[in-house]
Amino acid sequence: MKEVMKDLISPTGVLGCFVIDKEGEIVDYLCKKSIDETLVSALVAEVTNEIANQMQIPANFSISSMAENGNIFMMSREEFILTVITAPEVDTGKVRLKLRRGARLIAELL
Amino acid sequence: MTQDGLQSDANSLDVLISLADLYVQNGLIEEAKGLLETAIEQNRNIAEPYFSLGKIYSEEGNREKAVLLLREAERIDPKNQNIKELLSSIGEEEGLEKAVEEIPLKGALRRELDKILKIEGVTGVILVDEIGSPIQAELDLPLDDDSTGAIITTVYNRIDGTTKSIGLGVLKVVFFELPGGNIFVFGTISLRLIVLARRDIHFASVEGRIREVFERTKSILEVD
Repeated sequence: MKEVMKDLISPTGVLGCFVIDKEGEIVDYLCKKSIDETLVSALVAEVTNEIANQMQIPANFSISSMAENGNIFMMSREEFILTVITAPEVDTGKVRLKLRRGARLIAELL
Repeated sequence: MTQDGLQSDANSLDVLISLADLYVQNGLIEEAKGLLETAIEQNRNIAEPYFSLGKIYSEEGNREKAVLLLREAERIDPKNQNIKELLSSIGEEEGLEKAVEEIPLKGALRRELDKILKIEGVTGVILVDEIGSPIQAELDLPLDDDSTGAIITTVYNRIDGTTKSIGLGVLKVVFFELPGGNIFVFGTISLRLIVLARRDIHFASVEGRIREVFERTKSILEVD
């Protein structure tokens, strides 16, 4: 899994990558800078569960969020949520492609 | 403004009013109203388009709107006898609450949102405030725009809370790729523009056009 995560954080501007289960527990993570992984995992699980409930979508959706100081990409799958946090200036297309590929590989590993 | 510019504005107003008259004569009332709303937006200090639109509403029996528009026309041109006569013929009522500005404002918003709706693959546009209360919606889908707007705003606000907690700051744009289609949301502190699109419509291909409309919408509503 670390190899998949290394590839995910390889583009310039990507700060960290997290694999989180649906209860908000960290499965694995890799960061280029210090990020509170417990906070990220709890918040990401909360927000994806809320989306699943509000929009009545069980799994397999993705969210790309652009904020003033950075971006957060979340890909929800049946058993896990793959999340990447980036700086504002990042090649979002490349990140999302890697995220999609990463999610597929992690699903196979799990 | 140059003399040419003034001439051009005057011509444009005359053309809009004449065309609106022609539409009315041919029974195209809604089209005439649209033209006159545009004329009002472009010439807020000229009585004539207010008078013409007021006359249409009066003939339709919509006294409230007619009186509002005619009062505004009278305020701009207090000596105009045609306005006074029409006002007195329909009879004024006290206690009218809505501001006359609401009519052209709604038209302007609708025109902006329509620009997004015309993009291939876009199925709906919803404009709400920061708590999800509806402002305007244009949908090609059989959806309840009020509840759709409220649900998406709740989710958007939740993500906004997350980005702030993680230290990424205020959320600006979110796009959701869902099994049934994509949703793009542009936000400010007080406004959310929600665009519903088919699954094959990618954010990058529509972002620029939606952003332009969002900027104009903010300026129409006078919000940051």
